[in-house]
Amino acid sequence: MRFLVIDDEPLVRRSLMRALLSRGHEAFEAVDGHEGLSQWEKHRPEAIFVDVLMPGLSGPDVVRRALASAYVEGARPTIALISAFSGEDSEKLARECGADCFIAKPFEDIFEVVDRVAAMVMAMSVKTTVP
Amino acid sequence: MNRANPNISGSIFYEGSDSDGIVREGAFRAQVAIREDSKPVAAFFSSEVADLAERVASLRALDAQLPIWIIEAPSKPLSLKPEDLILLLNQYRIRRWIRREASSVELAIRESLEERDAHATYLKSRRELGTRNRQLHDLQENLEKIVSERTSHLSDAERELHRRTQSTRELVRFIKELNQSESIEELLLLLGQEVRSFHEVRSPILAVVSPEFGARLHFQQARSASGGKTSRALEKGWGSKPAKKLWSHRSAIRMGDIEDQAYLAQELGRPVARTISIPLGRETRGRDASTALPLLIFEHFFDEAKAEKFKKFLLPRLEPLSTALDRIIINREMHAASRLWEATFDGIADPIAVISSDFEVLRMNEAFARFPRPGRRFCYEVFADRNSPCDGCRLKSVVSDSQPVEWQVRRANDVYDVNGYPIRIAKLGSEKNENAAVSKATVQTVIHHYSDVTKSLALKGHAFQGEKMAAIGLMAGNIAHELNNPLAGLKSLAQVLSVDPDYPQTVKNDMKEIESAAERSSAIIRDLLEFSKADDRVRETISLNDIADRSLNMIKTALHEHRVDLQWDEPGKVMVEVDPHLLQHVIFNIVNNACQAMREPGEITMRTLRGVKSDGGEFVEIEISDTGPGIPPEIQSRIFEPFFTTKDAGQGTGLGLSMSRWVVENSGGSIQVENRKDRSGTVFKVRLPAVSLKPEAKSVSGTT
Repeated sequence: MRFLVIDDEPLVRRSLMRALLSRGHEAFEAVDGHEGLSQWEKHRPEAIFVDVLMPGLSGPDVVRRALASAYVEGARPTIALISAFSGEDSEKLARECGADCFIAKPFEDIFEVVDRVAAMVMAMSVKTTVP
Repeated sequence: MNRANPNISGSIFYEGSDSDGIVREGAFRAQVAIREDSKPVAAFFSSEVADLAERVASLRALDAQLPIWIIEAPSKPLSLKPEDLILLLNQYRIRRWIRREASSVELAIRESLEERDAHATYLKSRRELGTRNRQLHDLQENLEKIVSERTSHLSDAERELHRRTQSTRELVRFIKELNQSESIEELLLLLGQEVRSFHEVRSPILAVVSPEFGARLHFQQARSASGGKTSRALEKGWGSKPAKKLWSHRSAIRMGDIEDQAYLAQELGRPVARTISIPLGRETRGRDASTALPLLIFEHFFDEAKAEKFKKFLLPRLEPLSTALDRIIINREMHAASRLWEATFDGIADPIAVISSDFEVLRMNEAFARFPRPGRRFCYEVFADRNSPCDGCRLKSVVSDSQPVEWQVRRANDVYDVNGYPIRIAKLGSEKNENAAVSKATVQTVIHHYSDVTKSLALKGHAFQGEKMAAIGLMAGNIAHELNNPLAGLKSLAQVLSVDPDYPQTVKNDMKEIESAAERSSAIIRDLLEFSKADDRVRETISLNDIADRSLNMIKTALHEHRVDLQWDEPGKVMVEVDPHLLQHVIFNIVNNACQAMREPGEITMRTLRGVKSDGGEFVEIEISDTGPGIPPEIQSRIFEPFFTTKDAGQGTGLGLSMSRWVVENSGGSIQVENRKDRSGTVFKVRLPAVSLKPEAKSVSGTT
């Protein structure tokens, strides 16, 4: 499975990358929204981790653009919005921009996070493949 | 008397005889005609005279009455012709014809003349003496009269003097007594005694206006049996009543004035005899012109003359009387004024004292007098129980600068703000302009106004603490995200690395350490974030018991080894208006602390109750006690400080209790901690304002 990690925080990026790789996934990374979008265009991963607060394009902006592009292409990725701001507001924000889930930082267990998102991707692909 | 020798022979002799003119023998007096105007009184002719008859004839022709004597010496007989002799005897009426030697006759005449002269002198001097005597007598009589007149004058004067002295003495005594009188009643008693000799007069009535007591009539209410002579009369019969209206304020003495009598009858509610009304005091004493002068009224049964006498008796007494009355009224007013000031200062709850520049307490109000004082003179002794001026005392600078100064002193554990105000009192009469005098006057005494600021300082500290918490909250919101990001990365990376098979076990263990450190850090940030969002939360009215139950659910696992005893006051009645989520955290924090404090299995008791504060407001309280070791008293005041913790590193953030207090106080409540009295352990009391639920029945009946 292919993942894209967009976060300006190197440690978060690195840890997610390591966790994804250790689970046998393919992973790409980007330090901000613009790079993230170009990576998305380039690799078309099944799932994206995107931070909410980033310099330049914000997380929700990235999600909206990515989803718009995905709609055209016909392949919708699973998107997890991650943020240090936890709580209802963030979940609401995630729903509004079209992300599939919200994950608060710091992660309780990073592997669990990775597995959860992977499971969501699986479920989505089952949904989409079944007419 | 000029006396020449009598020229007897042939001369004319003059005789000063008695009025009968008869010349007797041996009673001659010869006198030389020395004065032309003197009339001859007698003539002596000697026989030696040649033309005797002619001479006698010529003399007789001169004076028909003149006695003429002829002296015929025997040795030389008169050779007269008989016709001449007859002529002499008949025609010229010779008085005497003496036949004797002329010399002896002359001698006898001389002797008799001398004798006569002496006699005449005697007679004359006797006459003169008589006159003198008479004059003297008259004089004496006059003198006696004058003396007696003078004497009577003198005794009159003396009597008058005595009388005056007496009356002056009495007046002086009266004035002295007046000056010793302390009250209007005493004054009236004195006056009553003074006029006692006038039987037809009743005891005096005095009408006085004073700002303090208003218009009053002072009089003897009823004559007591003991009479008005002793001081018992003061207690018995003298009294006063407020005047219904003001008396006439004419300034002249009125005798039998109808208006006065009507006024008095109206005021006393009884018939009144004739009156003498005497306004006391000068009109120029600076009183308000509208207020009446004090009026002294005597009821009397005098006739007019006696009344005048009475008036005359009173007149000299009026001036001292009104002076004494003035003095009494002014004293009374001053006394009342000073009582008012005293009451004013005593009414102030803060201690106030007048302190000399040497720290000696001169005067104080009641609040200051509550400090223990026996044997203590100085303010620092009385106030702060010290032997030297309090630290920070600025009394001296108040004295030197003549300006109010504020400072702070400690009294045991309490802190007092002291306001020192200089008292400037000018020397009397030293300056014409009073203000100038006051500004020049040096300060000798200072007012110290102490206000206990212990509580307000504590409140200030509290408020400061609150501000600090709020600032932290604000800051937390801003930095939490910034910190959370790297921390999240750190933790996750450590997590990932700690399971990476490429690394040796030691590195993996280190990674675990890093992970847990990151976890602790993010816990702090979580707390901060929770806190920073508190303001946005919504309050709801909820049962305290419910919140406590929910909190307990949060820490079930921590609690499983301790026994929890719940004592709920009637559910549904213990209602509070709070953010339930936050209060849940508060209870969670306290219970969690209790669990951590109890190293061995113990007991946690939670109790809710409802009560009424001293100011009447209702409150609800949740009391959480544990059986742990308790909190040492010295750190009890610090446990609510942010980041203060006694837990081992990694066990607590030091924010739980400080945020708990912030939450509780933000909801209008308070949080207290104390050690259990019955056994070791701690008691936390969270008190919140109670919310009374609207009675259901009422709203139902309202809608139907």
